[in-house]
Amino acid sequence: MEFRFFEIYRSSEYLLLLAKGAGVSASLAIGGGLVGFLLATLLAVSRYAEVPVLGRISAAYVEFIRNTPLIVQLFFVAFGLPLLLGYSWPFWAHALLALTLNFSAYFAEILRAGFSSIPSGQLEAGAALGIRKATIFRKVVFPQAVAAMYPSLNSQFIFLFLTTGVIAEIGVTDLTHAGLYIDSRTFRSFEIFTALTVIYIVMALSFKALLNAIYRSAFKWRTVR
Amino acid sequence: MSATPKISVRNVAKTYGHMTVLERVNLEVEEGAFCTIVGASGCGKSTFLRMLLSQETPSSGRIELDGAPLPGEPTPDRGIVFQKYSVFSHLTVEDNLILAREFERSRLLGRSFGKGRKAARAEINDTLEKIGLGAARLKYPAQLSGGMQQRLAIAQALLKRPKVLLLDEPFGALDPGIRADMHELLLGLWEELAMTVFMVTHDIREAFKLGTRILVFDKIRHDPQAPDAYGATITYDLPLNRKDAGPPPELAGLAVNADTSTGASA
Repeated sequence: MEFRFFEIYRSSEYLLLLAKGAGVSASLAIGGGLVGFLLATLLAVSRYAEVPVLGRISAAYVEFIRNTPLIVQLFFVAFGLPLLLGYSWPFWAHALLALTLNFSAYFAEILRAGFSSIPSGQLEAGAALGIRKATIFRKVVFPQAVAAMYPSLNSQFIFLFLTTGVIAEIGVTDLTHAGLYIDSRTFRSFEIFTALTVIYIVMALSFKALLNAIYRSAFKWRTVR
Repeated sequence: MSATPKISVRNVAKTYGHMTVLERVNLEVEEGAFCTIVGASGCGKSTFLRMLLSQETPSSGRIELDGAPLPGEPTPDRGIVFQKYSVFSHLTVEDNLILAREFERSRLLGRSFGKGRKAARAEINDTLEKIGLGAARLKYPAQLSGGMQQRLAIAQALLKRPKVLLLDEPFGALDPGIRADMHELLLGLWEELAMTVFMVTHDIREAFKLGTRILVFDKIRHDPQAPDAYGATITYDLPLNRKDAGPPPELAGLAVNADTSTGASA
């Protein structure tokens, strides 16, 4: 069998498709990750602080999202809800919403574990100094919890990034979509999926390196000796 | 015995469910006293301190500070240092102290700007010098030795200029050499700042070395069928003279001022 990788890399059209696709995948993952993290913080805080009603709703939401497949959530957001609510957004907006909801539930569970992991001595020390509870949470619990859970958040993000390929199913021109398109045009399945694999690996490792760099600069106290 | 006692504890008991931790605790402490508290593990010494801080409330009886009932929550006039390092590990030495000032700021409804901030920084630097941490201002707790971390905890407590300083086995985790240094530091601060100090310790020699008065907590009533039925109380309350280091044997015989006979009248 003869491999014909040049069919991909000699075609500026295909290279452009792959590059654009990688950009779309990265943007949606980062966007979903950031907004998802903010939403996750609200969810986790409402459960940690045992806010009446809201805490229960958060718990139900997290369980709901974590126990249904991403692709079903995606179809629900892209095709189900628009029928009910009558909105019509571009494909990428549907994808971003679905990814945000999905990311937020996973991050919320990690954050909640992080909040509970802070030794009670730290809370008592804050209380003994007369600092208000909200301030203790903001200035002591939250930063320590995020730092402690950072490796989990990091790997969860990479994992979720790699699952974003399913958004190609609703027509978003992401990296997987580009690969499927090129495959259907050239029938060079081995070559194109090898290329996709390499691009995904490079992107995932780049994200990891970036997140680690952020960790080292944001949480100096975890690394000083 | 002329001035009104700074702290008076009247027939205080503390129970958790069916378990009685403390009972019939009575105490009058003059301003500026250095009370060391000893007793077996789990006999309620820490609970007693936490009640003095208002982190716990007595199940019965009352505690008065300068003749008024103790406020329901920690106030700046009472500071505490715990045994385990209670400093905030994600903040530098300086930021630990800045956070400790949050209390005043939140009460003034706003952050301190300009002159206020400068004054705050000067005060923090002053405290750091006093406690011997001036050079470690920008270090994180993980970079400090155990003794330095405890000094930082003391600095946090002192920043509020407390009239009462509560110490819960503050030097329990330190090695003996550093402990001796910390004793000097603490006695110096106590004399300089004219505080009333309550210090829980497991080290009897430490208790006699530092205190002007020693309080012994112990259970005097036992029911083998119901080990939780009775709590500990103050069984010995002795004045100390720091000049003679060590427990004077003849004093132990005279120690009857335990105030345990007043019974449950609350």
